[in-house]
Formats: sequence, structure tokens, C-alpha cells
Amino acid sequence: MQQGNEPLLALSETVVGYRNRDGKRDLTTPLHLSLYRGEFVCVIGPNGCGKSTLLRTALGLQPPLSGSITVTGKNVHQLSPPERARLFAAVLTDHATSGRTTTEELAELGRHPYTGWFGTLTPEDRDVVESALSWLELEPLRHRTLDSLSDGERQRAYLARAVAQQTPLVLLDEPTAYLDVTARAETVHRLLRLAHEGERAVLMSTHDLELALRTADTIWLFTTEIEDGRRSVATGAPEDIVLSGLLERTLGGGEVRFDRATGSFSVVSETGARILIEGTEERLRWAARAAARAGFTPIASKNAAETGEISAQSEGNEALPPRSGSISPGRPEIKLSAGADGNWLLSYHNRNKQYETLGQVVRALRALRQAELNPERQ
Amino acid sequence: MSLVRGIRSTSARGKTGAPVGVTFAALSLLLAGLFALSVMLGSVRVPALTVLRALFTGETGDAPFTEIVLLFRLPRALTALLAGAALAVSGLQMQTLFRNPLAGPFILGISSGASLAVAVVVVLAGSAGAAVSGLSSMPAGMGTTGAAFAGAALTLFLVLGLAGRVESASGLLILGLLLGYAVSALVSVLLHFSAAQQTQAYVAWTFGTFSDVTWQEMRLFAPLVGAGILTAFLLSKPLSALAMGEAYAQTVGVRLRRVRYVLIVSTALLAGSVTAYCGPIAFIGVAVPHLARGIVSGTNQRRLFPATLLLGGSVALAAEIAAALPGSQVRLPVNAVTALLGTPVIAWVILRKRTTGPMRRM
Amino acid sequence: MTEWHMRNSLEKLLILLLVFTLTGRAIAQSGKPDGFDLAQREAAAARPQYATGYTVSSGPGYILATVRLHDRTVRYGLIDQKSPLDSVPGADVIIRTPVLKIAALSTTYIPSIDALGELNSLVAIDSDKWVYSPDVRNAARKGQIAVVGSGPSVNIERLLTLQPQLIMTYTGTATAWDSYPQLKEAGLPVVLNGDFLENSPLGRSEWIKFIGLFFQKASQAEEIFAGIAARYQRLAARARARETQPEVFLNIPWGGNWAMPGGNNYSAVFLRDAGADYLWSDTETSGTLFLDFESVFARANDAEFWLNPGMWERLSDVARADRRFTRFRAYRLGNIYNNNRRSTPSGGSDYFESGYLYADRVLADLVKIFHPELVPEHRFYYYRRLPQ
Repeated sequence: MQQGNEPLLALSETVVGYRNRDGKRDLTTPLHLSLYRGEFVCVIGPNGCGKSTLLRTALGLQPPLSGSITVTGKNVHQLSPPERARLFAAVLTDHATSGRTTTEELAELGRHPYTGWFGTLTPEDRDVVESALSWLELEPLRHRTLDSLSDGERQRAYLARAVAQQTPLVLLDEPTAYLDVTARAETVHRLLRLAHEGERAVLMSTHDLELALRTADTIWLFTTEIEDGRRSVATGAPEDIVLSGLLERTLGGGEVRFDRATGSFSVVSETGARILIEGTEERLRWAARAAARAGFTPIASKNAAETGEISAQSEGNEALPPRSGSISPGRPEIKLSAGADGNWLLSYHNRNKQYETLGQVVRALRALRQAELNPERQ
Repeated sequence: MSLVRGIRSTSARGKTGAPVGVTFAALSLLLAGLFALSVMLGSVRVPALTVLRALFTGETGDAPFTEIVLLFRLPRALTALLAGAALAVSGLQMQTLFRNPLAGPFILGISSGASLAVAVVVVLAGSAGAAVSGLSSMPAGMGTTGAAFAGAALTLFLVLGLAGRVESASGLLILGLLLGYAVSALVSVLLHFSAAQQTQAYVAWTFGTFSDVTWQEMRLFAPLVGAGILTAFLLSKPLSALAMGEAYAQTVGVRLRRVRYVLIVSTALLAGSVTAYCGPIAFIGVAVPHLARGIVSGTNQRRLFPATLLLGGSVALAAEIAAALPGSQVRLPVNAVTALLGTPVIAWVILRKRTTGPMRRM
Repeated sequence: MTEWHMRNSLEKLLILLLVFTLTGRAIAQSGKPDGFDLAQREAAAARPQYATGYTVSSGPGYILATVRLHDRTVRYGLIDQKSPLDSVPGADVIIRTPVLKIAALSTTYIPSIDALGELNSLVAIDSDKWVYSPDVRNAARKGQIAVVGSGPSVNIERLLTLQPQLIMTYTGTATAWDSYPQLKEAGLPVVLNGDFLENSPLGRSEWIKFIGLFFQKASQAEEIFAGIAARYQRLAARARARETQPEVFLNIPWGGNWAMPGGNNYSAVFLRDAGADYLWSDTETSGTLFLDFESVFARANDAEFWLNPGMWERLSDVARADRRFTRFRAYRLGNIYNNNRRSTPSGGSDYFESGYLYADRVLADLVKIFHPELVPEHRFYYYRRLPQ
């Protein structure tokens, strides 16, 4: 939730990029971005657009090519590493940690910026570590070494460390990579809670678009290249970003289309021959997906329209012009209905066939397409 | 008190299953026991009671025995203890910084520099006709100690200079290795052109010994080693963070460049001093940290550091006792013994069962 | 008439006598060829009484000198330059004598060559750094004597161009450090000399006779050696008979090891013959013991004399090297003697050069240390007491 106060992290005229032997390379145009306490932000964009570089620059690990980055008004790159460590906690993709470290030790390292010269933890430090461990449900695993943990558990351990660091900002670079679906969802929701309940500002870059759109307070989207290969970053609520069409323009292209209905990307079919789907709610939705997978363009029936459920073709979506040779436009000649008993009925050219599973339906539809496309091979 | 708390975390147990406090008590006892043994045993048979009397009263009534215990055995035992601790701690630092289980205190080329200096002095000094009847010695006033120090210091400055220009730790590691090789090559060239007895003298130096440090020299040796260990001690905290890798360490507040510099200085103090006073002692620096990791779980330096310290001293004392071949008048070179003890340990490191998974077990 | 006759008879008698004597000698000498006699005489002169590393025998016109070094035996057949003989039964190598150009790859051969008056035959030495002899050093500096190095890096090509008739060198058990294998392979005329392996001082000195063989001067060598041996034995007898024999120990430690010559070592024999009680004379070996500082201290801390302390020049060197040396009684008494009185700045020491040959001089030095009253006129030659 954006709060009407000062941003915790502010990028001002910041150009993110890197320097190498050949000179410098700008990845972005001058950026103006702000991050507020209690806000959960996901950064998305195509591969190589500069998400990681942006995060590393914000963390102070590398300097911006121009402009400044401030945290509560202080310039990040003028702070010393210990001072920065009290403001930012990071979870990175770099998993170079020695496998012999125990979960507890890793969490304790989060207190590094606060402990004395020998690193001894005060009782207060210990409490912070304990609560971090328990919040991430790591207590039973505390003495296990990192190399004996599963990927999800290990990720939690890193998160525990970041939590124990008690910083107002937490930045994560692709924390959901390598995690299974369940773990991904759990992680993201934990981060959400960390932001809202823990009153931190959490910034996370990710490829998991669906999860990001579903959970983030704000999206930072790396746009298509504006000039000389430099991108800009657009911000807004996930829904606004979707509806503005920016998402498709940035991330889609070619055969991949963003489906606003489902909030996901899919490969668009070749022929787009239309098929009428009948059914209720859920069965309608998944039948439509099956049909799309088989290479057809599903259209909801009147029933579906009444219930207000999806149709494969929503307004505003750029529909493919039908290819020549496809089944003619107008009323679709194929129909797929969901039977009450769970079966499926496929009607084509006045022939009806019943199938038990959508899988069978898909196979039949594909065969149909083949027949249509290659009449000689009948 | 906070130190103890630091060492024990909530009911942590070492690998052996015993509480950490017990482990450290046992290690301390081991060290003390080996120290006592080293003073008791030697090529000359001195009755145990006489030894004790010499230690506590400084008098035994039997002049040579008193002097043997107080002038020979005691400083030798102390030297072994300090040298072992210094090398082990330095090895631990190097292994942590470079994230390499085979790194050791000499990996930055410090002992190579010292060896080169000693070789130069030995060859230049020459020996007047010591041809057949015995080994040559250093001409008066020029000690191998001074030469070794000079060599170590020069290497140190070289490495420091390089460290500033190198981005990653592994780059520094490679540079240090290359430096070591180059210097060893120079030593070979020097020896090729020297007479047999000079080569012999140099080779004798490379055998390593704890017996050459008198009380007078101890006045410099002990503080140097102490300073080195203290510096290493102060690095425990950032080194613990470095277990996470350099990027993470920075995000928890470690000043990478500064840590690297201090670490190099600490290594020079530890490895350089030991090489100057004892010759290049191999294996202890590489093997002991692994022994310590076998006993103390985790990578937290607060536990690993004291364990390495105690074990290092113990291993060096054990090597000294073994090298002395008590009862016989012959002595084995220290390096031979440490190699014999150290090789199985390092082999064990490489061969032990690896846990499956992408995590490195270091 | 009778006076003239009488004088004539006397003259005739004298002339007859002269003629008889001359022919008699001629007959006597023409019985055997010249070389045969010489060989026999030389071999007899060279026969060793103390040295164990070589033996000599002779045959018609040749000498067979057998050298035994470690487990290696080489037989050298010496034949006169002008002799028609070209082989010697049982010989591995043939050397033509007298040798006019010799290369000496150890400084210990130089004094013998010098004593025999054959310094002009010296064409090459191994190193000018270790040589003491001023003549040789000068000659080397002027380029009159070549410096060919020793060990594995010996300059074979130089030797090949110099074409010496004899290269005298040594060999060790580990031939990697020697020049001998390479010289042999290059086909150069190499002769092994085992003087350094002799356990007795006179044995070492006696090798002058071996060297003399190659110059056909073994008889001369014999004379020189006889004088040395006689002086040595006389002095040794008197010194050994002394009542009190002071305790003495040798050398200094290096890298934790103290190399102490064994009881049968050459150094130990010298000390015994000088009337001293060498503290490790009870050990059997003729090699070196490697002890540690502690055991040497235990046995020798009360000894009166300390000899051959490496390269130390003064007592302050001793103290500076290791404070514990000052606990030795020998240090406190200032009784530390080193054999580097005659040495060059580059490291050459005459003790290891002419000291091999002049064992009597060395003994006299030693007796002067332990029993000075026996040699009141002798002045230190090789040894000196370490000053403050």
C-alpha cells in the first residue's frame, strides 16, 4: 500500500548500467522510481533487460551510471557498507554459501551489522533471530546444514537472514527461481506479509508473471527499448499495467500473446478455427483452454455469456485474421459441450461423438485439423 | 562472559555430539598434555621429576639438565605451539577467503619469497672449504631469520599491490600461486650455480625446525605471532560473513577491500614469522582447519577459530615430539613428519563422502 | 826405459779399469729395458702404507694403479710416452706418462702437484673461488689456467679444446653431483682420486704418491711423504703419551642438526693423535653423526675446547648466532679455534687444500692447541684462536 509519506527508496534521474573494458553501457533511460514502506513491488521484464543490475545498483553493489539513489534521503553510494547493511537486506541469486553453514548460523549472520567486533549476539539479537526462524518455520531445521536442505527450505533460510537483519528495505533477485509451484506461492505470500505486516518495503524481481500480477502492490515493468537499446521502467498497479496493454507490448510478440482473460501468456494457434464451447464456469474455462491447445479459437456459448464467464475472444484483444483455407467465419461448425455426467460431446458436421476426457477431445480436434488442412491425406 | 555466549549458541553441539564447552575443554587439555610431553621427551633422557623441578624452581642441581630443559626444550615447545597455532589460523583464513579447501598460509607466495631470500644469502655467503667435513653455517651477523623476513616482507608488498588491482579473490589466489612458482624457479637457478655444500645448507633450512628459537629471539617471535593471531581474531566476524560469498557479505556490511588487506597483513605476520624463525613448515596450515571442521560444526568463525588455534598448536607439538624420536640421538626433519601426518588428512578431505546436491561442502 | 814402461803400465791399467767399468755398466744396464726399471721403482715408491683407496703394481714397462672408491674399482694402466706398449693387462684405462697437461678438478690435488714441481702442467681447475694457492689463483686470473667448473655443469667443451692428458677428479655415491660420468662419456682421460675418503690423515697425505705416478715422480713423492709421515708419527707419539687429554668437540649445528664426525672419522683420528679426548670417539662410524643441539650440549657443555666452528671468525659471532652457545665452557674460556687462518675472501681455505698433504703441519697446530709445551717453536699455520 502506498502511504502518503516519503519514499524509503528513491531513484532520481538514475541511469542503470554497467562499465566494462569497452566502456559503459546504459541499460535504462534516466529513471524516477520510488518505493514506500509497506509496499510490495515486483520488477518484471524480459531477460537481460537489467532487473538484476537495477537491484544491485539499488543495493550499492555497483554505482549508477548517472543520477542518484537515496534511501530516506541519504545517498546510497555515499554510505559505508555497514551503514547500507542497516538499510537493505538482500536475497540474491548467488548461492555461493558454504554448504556447511547451518540454518541457524545463516540467520545469525543477519545480525552482522549490529553485533560487536567479535560478532557475539546479545539477548536482543538472539530474540530477533529466533523470531525470524519461527516466522519462516525453520525451528526444526535450525541445526541442519544448508546442503542438506531442499531448495525451498534453503530459500527460507536466506529469507530468515534477511528478516533478521531488520532492515526497512528488503530486495530480492529472482527468489522464486528453482522453486516448485507451492514453494513459489508460499515465498511470495510471505514477502507480501513481510511488507504489509512487517512494515518493510519489499522489492523483488521475478519471471513468475502470474504470481506477480496477482500479489504485488506495484509492478515495475521494464518497457520495450526506447532508444539505443535503453529501456524505461513503467510503474503502476498490476491491473492497470495489464489493461494499458504495456504488458503485451513489452513481453509478448510473435507467436506469444498475453491473454488478459487468464492473465497469462500463451502461444496463439495457427488456424484459429472457431469452436463453440458450452458449459458452466470452470468446465467452460478449461474446455476453452483445451480447444485453444488443439489449435482452435474457442467461443463461449450463450449460456456462458449469461453467467458472465470468459470467452476466448475478449474485446480489445487483437484477434488474428483468419487464415485462408480455414473453416469459414460465422457460426462455428464445431461444438463442444460439457455433459452433466462429466463427459464431453463433440459435434462436427452433424456427427456427434462422446469422450470421457478432454485429452481425448484434444486428440480428436487435432485429427480434425489435420484432416481439414490436408484433404489429400484423408 | 559475552565471549562464552558467543561460542555457545542455544544448545549447539559439536560434530562429536558433545556440547561445545566440553569440546574446547578437551582440546585445551590435549594442548597442555602435548606441551608437557614435548618438554619431558627429547634425545637426552631427563627424568620427569627433574623436568618438573627445572620448570617450577629453575634449578635441578644437575646443571646440564636444567639448561637442557629451560634453554632447549621449553623454548622449542613454545615455538612449536606458537608456530602451529599461527599456521593453522592463517590456513583457516586463506581457506575461507578463497573458498578453497586446499588453500594454506603460503598460498600468497609469502614463504616462497622468504625461501628465495634465504637461498640468496646462503649462496652468496659461500662457505670456506666446508667441503667434506661438515655442513656450512651462516657467516656471522647475517641470520637466515633476517633474510627470510626481508623476503616475506617484499612478497607481502607485492601481493598488497596486486590485491588492489584485482577484482575477485580468485584472481588474487592465482596471482599468489604464480608468484610462488616464479620465485621457486629463481631458487632453483640459484642452487644450480652453487656448490654442493651450499645446496645442502639450503636444503637443511627447508626441512623446518622448531629448535632454533632461543629465548632472546622469542622476544620478537612471540609478539609477532601474537599480533598476527590477534589480527586474525579481529577478522573472525567478517570471515564468518564471507562464508556466504562475497556478494552477500557485502550486503551484510563487510568492507571487502579492507578485509582483504588486513587479511594479507595478518597472513604475512603469521606465515612470514613462522617461516623466518622455523623455515617453511608445510601441511599444518592446510590440514588443521579441516580437522577443526571435523570437530566443530558449522562455519561460524567464533567456534572454528579457537578450535583451529588449539588444534594447530597440538598438531605442531605432536609433530615435534615425533620428529625428536625420543631416546635416539637422531632427529627427523619437522617437514617430513608434518607431511606424513598431513597427507592422510588432506586425502580424507578429498575422499570423504559428499552429500548430494549443488552446495559446496567446504 | 823401465820408468816409462812402469808409467805406461799404470796408465794402461787405469784405462783398462775405466773401460771395464764402463762396459760393465753398459752390460748391466742393457740387461733389461729402461722403462721396466722405472716402472718397478715407481710402483715400489708409490706403494701405500696408510692409504687404503689405491694399490699399485707393475709389470714389464707398465704400472697398474687400482683405485677403489665406494663400490667402484677402476684400474689405470700407466705407460711411458715413448714406450711401444699400447695395452696393459687388467687395465680399464691407459694413461701415458709423464703427463704434461693436467686438469685438477679438486683443490686438494694442487698442493701435491705443486710439491712435485709440476705446477706448470696445470691447465685447468674447477673453480677459482675455492682455490687458496696464490700462484694458481693468479694464473687463473691471467687466463693461464682455465676454470672449467665441476659437477654436472663442468665445461666439457673447454676441456676438449684444452686437451689435457689427464683430468683428475673425484666421485661420490650419488653421481648426479659429479662431473665424472660426463667426462667419461666425452671420452676424456679421467682418473679418479679417492683422497677424501681416507679415514686417516696420513692416508690422505699419501695420495701425493699416487699423483706422482702420473708425472713419473713417485720416488720424489715418496721422499716428501716420508718426511711428513715421520714428523707426524713422532709428534703423535709424544702427544698421545700425555697424561691429561683435554675434551674437545667439533662443528656447529645447522637447521636443528649438528653434524659430528664419528669416532673413526678423519677428524677424530687427528684429534686422537694430537692427544685430545674427542667426546664422540666412542662411536664406530667413519662418517658423520647427525645429532641435535640438545644431545651435543648434554655431552659437550663442559668440554675445554671447541674446534672448527663453521665460518665463525670471532667469539661475538658465536654469541650472536645463538645465545645458548655462550653456555659452553669452551666459549667461556675462549678456547674456540677455527682452521680458517689461511683463507681467501672468496671462500678458499688452505686447510682443505694443502692441509690434506701436510698432515704434520695440521697435527702440529692441533698439538699446539692441546699441549703447547710440546711444540714451543711452532707457529699456528692453519688454525687460529677466535678473538673477541
